[in-house]
Amino acid sequence: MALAWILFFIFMWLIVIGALYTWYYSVKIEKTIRELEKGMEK
Amino acid sequence: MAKIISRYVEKVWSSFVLLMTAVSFSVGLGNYWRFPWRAANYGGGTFLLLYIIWLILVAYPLINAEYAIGKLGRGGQIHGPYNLAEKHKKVAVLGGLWMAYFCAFAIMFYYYSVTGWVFYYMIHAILGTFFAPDFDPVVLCNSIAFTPLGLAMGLIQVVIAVVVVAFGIRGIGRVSRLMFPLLFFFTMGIAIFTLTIPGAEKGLEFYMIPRLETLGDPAVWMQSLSQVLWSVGPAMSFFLVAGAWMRRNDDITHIALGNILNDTAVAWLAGTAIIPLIFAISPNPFEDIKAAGATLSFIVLPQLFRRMGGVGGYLYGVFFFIAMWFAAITCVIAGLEIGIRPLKDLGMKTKHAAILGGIIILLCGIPPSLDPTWLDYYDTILGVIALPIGLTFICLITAYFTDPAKVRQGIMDMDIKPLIKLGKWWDYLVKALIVVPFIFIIWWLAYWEWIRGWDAGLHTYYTFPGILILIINGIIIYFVASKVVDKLAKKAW
Repeated sequence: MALAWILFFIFMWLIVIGALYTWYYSVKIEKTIRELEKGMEK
Repeated sequence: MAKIISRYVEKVWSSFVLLMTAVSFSVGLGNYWRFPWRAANYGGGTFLLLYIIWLILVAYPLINAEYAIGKLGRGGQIHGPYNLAEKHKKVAVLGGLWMAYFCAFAIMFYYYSVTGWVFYYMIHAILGTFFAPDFDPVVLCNSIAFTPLGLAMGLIQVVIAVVVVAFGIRGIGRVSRLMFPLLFFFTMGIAIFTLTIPGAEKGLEFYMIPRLETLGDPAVWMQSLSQVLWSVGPAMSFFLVAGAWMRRNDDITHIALGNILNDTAVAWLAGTAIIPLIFAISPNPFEDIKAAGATLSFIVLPQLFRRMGGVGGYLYGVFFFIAMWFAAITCVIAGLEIGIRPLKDLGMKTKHAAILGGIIILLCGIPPSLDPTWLDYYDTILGVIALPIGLTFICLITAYFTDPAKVRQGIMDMDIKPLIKLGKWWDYLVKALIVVPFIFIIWWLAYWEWIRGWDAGLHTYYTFPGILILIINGIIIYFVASKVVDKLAKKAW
C-alpha cells in the first residue's frame, strides 16, 4: 500500500504540479512579452 | 518562394488564454472514461509508465511541429502547410485539410450528441434524479442514448458552439479561460474526496502499482499509445490553428508542454476519482471496471453516487458531470473552429462560417446520433485510420517537405528564452516518427482482425469500404485544394 501512495505523490508532483506550473509560467512570461511589445512600439 | 496570405488574422491577447484554449481542446470526454478504463484494464501503473514514455517520445515533438506549421506558416490548414513546406506544397495542403476534416471535424459528427448526453446527465445530477426512489440508471441511459432526445440535446451543444465560435478567438478564449480552471479543480476535488472514502486504498493500489508482467504484452504498449494519440490530439490540426493565433513571442515549447501535462493531469485525476471509488463502493469492482467503457459514466457512476448518498454523493455527482460537460463542450467548440478555419482564411465571414459548419455537423451527425453502429463505424475509421495518417502528414510537412532544422530555429526564434530548448534530437525524432502511424495501423488491424477475432469490435465489412471512402475523399480534396492554392499563388507576394 505504501508503494501506491509513494507513486501517487510522485505523479501528483510531476504531472499535476507540473501542469499548474505551466499556468504560472504563462502568467509570468506574459509580463515580459508585454514589456517587449511596449519597447517595440516606442 | 511565394507565400500565400490568409485573409483572416487574429492573435491571442495573453499567454494564459492561449494555454487554456489549447488544453481545453486536449481535455475531452476520453479523459473521464477512456483513460481510467484503459489504465485499469491494461497494466495499471505499467500503462501509466508507458503513457508517459509515449507522451515524451511521440506527442511532445509532434505537437511542437504542428504548432510550428500554424505559427511559421501564418495561417490555418491551407496557408500554414503551403507556406512552411519548401516542396510538395499541394501535398502539404492536402495534409492540412486531411487533419482538419478527417481527424477532427468529422469526429464532431458523433461527438456532439455524446456531449448532449453528458449535458442531460449534468441536468439530472443537479436536479438530484440519481437519488429518486424509483431511479433506474439503465432506463435513464436508454432514454437519451441514440434517441431523438439525445439528438435534440446534441443540437443545443452545436448551437452553443456556433455562438462561441462566431466571436472568433475572443469567444473561444474567454470560454476556455473560465471553464478549464473550473474543470481542473473540480476533478482534483473529487479525486481528493474519493481518497478519503474507506476502502479506496485498494483501488489506488490497483490503479497505481505497475503489474510488470504486463510490460511484455504488446497490447499494453499500443493501448497506451492510442490513448496518447486520441487524448492529447496531435494531428487534429487544432494546434496548427492555435499556432496561427500565436504572437511572435508566444512560446511553442511552453504551450506544448502545457498540453501534455494538463491533459495527463486531468485524465490521471479522473482515474484517481473513479477507480478507487469503484473499489470503495461497488461489491464487484473488477467486473465493473472490466465492463466499464462508455457505460461507466452513464450507468455505473450514477449508481455509485446514489450509493454514496447524502450531500457528499449529490455534490460529487454534480461536480463530476459539470467537469465532464465542460471538457466535452470545449472540444465541440474547438472542433467547429478547426473545420471553419480554412473558410475564414479564404475570406468567409466568421459568423457565416460558424453557422455553415454547425449545419454540416448537425446533418452529418444524424446517423451516428441515432444508431450505435454508425457511431462505431465513424469512430473506427477516423480514429484508427485517418488520425495516424494525419500524424504522417505532420512529419512530412515539417521534416521531409522542409528542413526540420529551419523549423526548429523558427520555433526558437523569439525575443524571450524558450522554456525548453529543442536540440538536433527534435529534427531526428520528427523524421523518425513517420514510422509510428504505420506500426499503429498495422498492429491495430492485426490485433482486432487476427488476435481478438474479426467480430471483436473492428468489423472488416465496413472497415475496408471506409478506408476506400477516405482515399476517394482525399483525392477530391487534393484536386480542389490544388485549384484553390494555384489561384492564391497567382496573387502571392
